[in-house]
Amino acid sequence: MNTPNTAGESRPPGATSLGMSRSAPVNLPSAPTRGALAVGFSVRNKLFVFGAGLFGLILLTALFAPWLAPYDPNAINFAVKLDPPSWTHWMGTDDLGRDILSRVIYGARTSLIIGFNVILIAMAIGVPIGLLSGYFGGRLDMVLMRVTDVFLAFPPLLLPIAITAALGPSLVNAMLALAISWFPWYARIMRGAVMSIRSQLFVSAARTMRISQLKILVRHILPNAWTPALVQASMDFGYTILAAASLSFIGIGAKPPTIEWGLMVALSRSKFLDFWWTAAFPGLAIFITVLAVNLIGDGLRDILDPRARGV
Amino acid sequence: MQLLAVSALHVRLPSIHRTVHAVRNVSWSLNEGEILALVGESGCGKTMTAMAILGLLPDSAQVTGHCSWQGQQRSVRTSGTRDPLAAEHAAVIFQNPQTALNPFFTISQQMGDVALASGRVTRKSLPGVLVENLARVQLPDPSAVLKKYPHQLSGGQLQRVMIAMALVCRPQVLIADEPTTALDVIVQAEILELLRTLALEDGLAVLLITHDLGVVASLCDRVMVMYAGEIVEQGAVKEVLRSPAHPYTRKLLATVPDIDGSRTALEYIPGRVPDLSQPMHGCAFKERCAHRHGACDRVPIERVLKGGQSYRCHLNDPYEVTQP
Amino acid sequence: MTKPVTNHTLKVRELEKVYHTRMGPFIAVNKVSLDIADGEVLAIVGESGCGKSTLSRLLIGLDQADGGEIRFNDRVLYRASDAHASHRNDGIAIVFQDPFSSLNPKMRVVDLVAEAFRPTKLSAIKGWRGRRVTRRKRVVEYLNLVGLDETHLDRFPHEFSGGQLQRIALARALAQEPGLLILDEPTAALDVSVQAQILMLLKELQQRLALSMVFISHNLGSVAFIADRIMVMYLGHRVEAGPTRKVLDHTRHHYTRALIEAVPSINPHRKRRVSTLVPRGSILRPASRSCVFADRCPAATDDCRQHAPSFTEGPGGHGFACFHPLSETQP
Repeated sequence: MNTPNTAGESRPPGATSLGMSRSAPVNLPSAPTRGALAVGFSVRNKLFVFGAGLFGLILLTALFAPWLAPYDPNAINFAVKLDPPSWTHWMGTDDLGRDILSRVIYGARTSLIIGFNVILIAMAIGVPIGLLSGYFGGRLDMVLMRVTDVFLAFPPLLLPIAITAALGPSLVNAMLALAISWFPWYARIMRGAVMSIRSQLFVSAARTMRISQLKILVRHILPNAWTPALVQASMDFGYTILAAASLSFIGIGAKPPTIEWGLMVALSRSKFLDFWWTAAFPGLAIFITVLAVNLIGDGLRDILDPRARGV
Repeated sequence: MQLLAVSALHVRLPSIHRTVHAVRNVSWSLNEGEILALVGESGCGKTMTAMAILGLLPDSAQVTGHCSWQGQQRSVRTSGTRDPLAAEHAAVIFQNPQTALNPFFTISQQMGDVALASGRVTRKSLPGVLVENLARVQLPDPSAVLKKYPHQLSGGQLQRVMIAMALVCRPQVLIADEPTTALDVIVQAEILELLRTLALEDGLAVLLITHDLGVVASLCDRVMVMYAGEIVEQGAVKEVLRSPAHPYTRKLLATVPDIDGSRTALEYIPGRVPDLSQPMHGCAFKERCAHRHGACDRVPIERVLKGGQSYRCHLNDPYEVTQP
Repeated sequence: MTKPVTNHTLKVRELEKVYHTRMGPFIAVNKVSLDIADGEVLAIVGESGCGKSTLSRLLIGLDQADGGEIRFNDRVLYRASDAHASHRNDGIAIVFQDPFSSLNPKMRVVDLVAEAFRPTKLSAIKGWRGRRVTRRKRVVEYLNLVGLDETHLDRFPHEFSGGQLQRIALARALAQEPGLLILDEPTAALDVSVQAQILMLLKELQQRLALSMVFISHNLGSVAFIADRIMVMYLGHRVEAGPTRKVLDHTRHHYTRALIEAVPSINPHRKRRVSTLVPRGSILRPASRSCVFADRCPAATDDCRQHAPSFTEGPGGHGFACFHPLSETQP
C-alpha cells in the first residue's frame, strides 16, 4: 500500500536532536479510507462470495423445483423426442421427450441430498474415531487407526464400487458406500487436530480441576479441533456429488426414475455425439455445483484457519 | 559524536476496521558509545519505533519521518525494503535467539552468509573474521562454537552468537529488542555486561528496547520512556530514575517490587492504555493520571529541566508530584 | 465465601522425578523435601531447567513422581511404595504462567469459572433456571474477588488483556476452594504495571483468605514482596531454603548469591557486582557424585567435586547444601 506522505515530506527534516518539541497539533498524513480497505478485503474474498452466491442459487433451485421447472420432469412426450434447445425447451429434450431443464432442476435435489448425507454419515463415523484416537492415544489409537487404514488402502472409487456391488445397487447403498470410503479422512484429520489441542495448557488446566474425560473431550477438545474437519467437509461436498454421479454413470448408483445428473449423463451415453444437449447440460450442472462448493471450501479455510491464509 | 537522529517519526498500521496510530511524532538521537534505553509496556510502540528506521515493518505499515545517519538525511522508508544506509550502519538482535537461527545450519554457515552478504568480508578472510567476532562476544573456544548447530548451544550462548553475527557487519549502531527477556537472570547479567563492554571499548551505540527498568538502571546511559506511541519523558538514566518528572514514569517506577523487600505495597496504574486507533485529545495519559486537571485536554508541551531531562506534562514543577 | 479449613499442610519428602531421554536418565527433581504451613507462602526460585515447574506438576498431579512422598492435610497424595496410586489433588489448585493458553478460547468466562465448582455445589438446587441463576451469581462472587464484575460474564477470553485473563484464571482457581494454591510464574507473561496489580491482588487475597501458596518465580523482586519463605533450586536440587529475609540478606549458598547479584535493580544505591560464576556449558548435567553446583562455583574445592553436600537445616529453619558456605555475617 503506498501512502501519500506529503505532510511528512514537506516538513524540514529533524532540526532538533533530542527534540520532542511539539507545540502545534501535528499534521498527519491521511490514512486510506475504511471503504478502500473494505473493497480490498472483499476482492480477496470475492471468489468465496461468488461460490456462496452460486451455491445459494443451487439450493434455492432444489428447494423450489416444483415451481421453477417448466414441465413435469417425468412427463414423456414422444412428439418432442430429442429436440435441440429451443424457446419451448431451453435445454432440449431427451430420448423420451422429457424436458432436460426440468430434469436438471429436479436433479439438484438428489445431488444436494447425496452430498449432505454422505458427508454427515462420514463425519458421524470419522469424527468420534479421530477424537478418541487422538485424545487417548496408545493402544486404542493403534487399533482405530489400523482399521481406518484398511479403508484408506483401496483406490478411491474402487471401494464404493465394491461395497455397492455387495449391497446391491441403489442410491441409498451408494451413499452408504461413499460415506464408508470417506470417513477415514475425517478420522485422520480429527486425530491430528486433537493431538495438537490435547497438549495445550488449557487441557492440562482442566485436568487439574478433576473434570471428567468426557467433559474435557466435548467441551475443551472438540470445539477447538473441529475446524479442519469442517473445512474438509465443505471441500468434499463437491467430490461426493461427483463420485455419486460416477456411480450412477456406471450403473450402480441412482436408478430410474430417480432424477440424478450422473444418471442423466449415463443414459445419454449412446446419443451424446449426435444429441450433445442430452449430456452437456447435466454435466454443466455437476461442474457448476462442484465449483461453487470448492470455492466455498477454499474461502472457509481462509476464514477459519488464518495460518493457511497468504496475506 | 551523533550517529543517528530520528525526527517526526509516525507509524500507522491500517487494517480492515481501523487504523492504529502506533507511533506518534517521535524524535530522538543516538551518540557514539552510548547505550540508550527505550522503555515502555507492550503496545506502546517501542519496537515499531526501532523497526521503522530499519525498514523492517510489514508492507502495510505507513511510515513517515526522517532519520539521519551521521548527517546523511533520509526520509524513512514506507515499504518493507531495507534502507541500504540503515543496513550499513545498524544491526539488530531480537528477543528470542532460538527462533532467529535456522536449526539446519551450523553457526559458521549462518554467520558466514551474513558476513559475506555485508560485502565487507572476503571469502578468504572469512574464518578469521568469524572467530574474531565470536571471541569479541566472549564465547570460549570460538572455533568449536562455529561447528555447532543452534540446538547444541544454550540460550545465553545463542544470544552471544546473535550479537557476534550483528557485529560481523561492523555496525555503529546495535538495536537490541528485548535481548535478555527470554534469558535467565544470571545469563541476562552476563549479556548486559557484554553490551556495556562493547559500548565502552568499541564505541558501539546501542538502542536497547526493554520493559525492565532494572535493566535500564544497571546498563543504560540515557532513557526514553514511551507511552501510547509517544515519548513522554527522556533524560539521563540517573536523573530520570532518581527524580522522574512525568506521572507515568513515576508510576512505572513504583510498580517494581525490589529485592530488598522495602515495599509492602506496590502501586499500579488504574485503567487501560488508550485506544490508539482513536484520535487523541490532549495528554495521552490523562485518563489514568492522578494529577489530571483542566489543562490536560490540551496537548502538553515539552518541559526541559536542568541536566537535559525533559518531559511532556502540564505539571510545572515535577516535585509537586512527589507529595500526592 | 466458605472459610478455608484450618491446618492445611503440604509435606513433601525426598520427591524425585526422572525423565528418560536418549542421553540417559535426567533427574529433573532430585530428592526435594519441603513443608508449607497453613497460610504460608513458599516461593520456589531458580533458573529455567532447575525443576521448579516439574515440581509444581508433581504437586498438582499432572505428572507422576518417581520416588518420595507427598502428603496434603495428612492425606497421602503420592507415595513411592503405593505404586500407581491415583493422585487425588483435591484441594490443590494451580494458576499457570501463560493466561492466553491456559483458558479455553471457545468458552465464556461464566463457564470457565463455573467449571471449577464441585458438582455437588449446584445439584441441590431444583430446576435448571434456578441452577443457572445461582451458578452465575456464584461466578460473579469469584469475579468480584479478583476485581472483575458481572459485565465480564459472557465474554470470551480473546476479549481480555493478559492481566484480566490472569485474574480470570485466578478466579477459577479460587472457585475450586483450594487449601493450597500453586502459582507457576503468574506474572512472567505480563507487563510491569500489570504485574504489580496481580501481585497486589495475590497478596491481598492471601491475607484475606489465609491461603497457603506455592509461588514459583525467577523474579526475586516479586518473591521478596510476597513470600514468607524461599526455596532455591538448582538443576533439580534444593540448594538453600529458609525465611525470605534470611535467605536474601544472609545468603549462605554461592548460587543464591549469584542469583541475587544478577538481579538488575532500579535502586541506584545497590552496587552492581560482576558475576563470579564460572560460565556454564551448554549441557546441564553435573557429574554424578559431585556437588551439583561444583563446576560453576567460585569456592569449589576437590572435596566438592568428590562428594555432594547434604542439605542441613540451621536455626530458624534456614538450611543449605554447601561445604563452604558464605559467612552468616555478610552484609
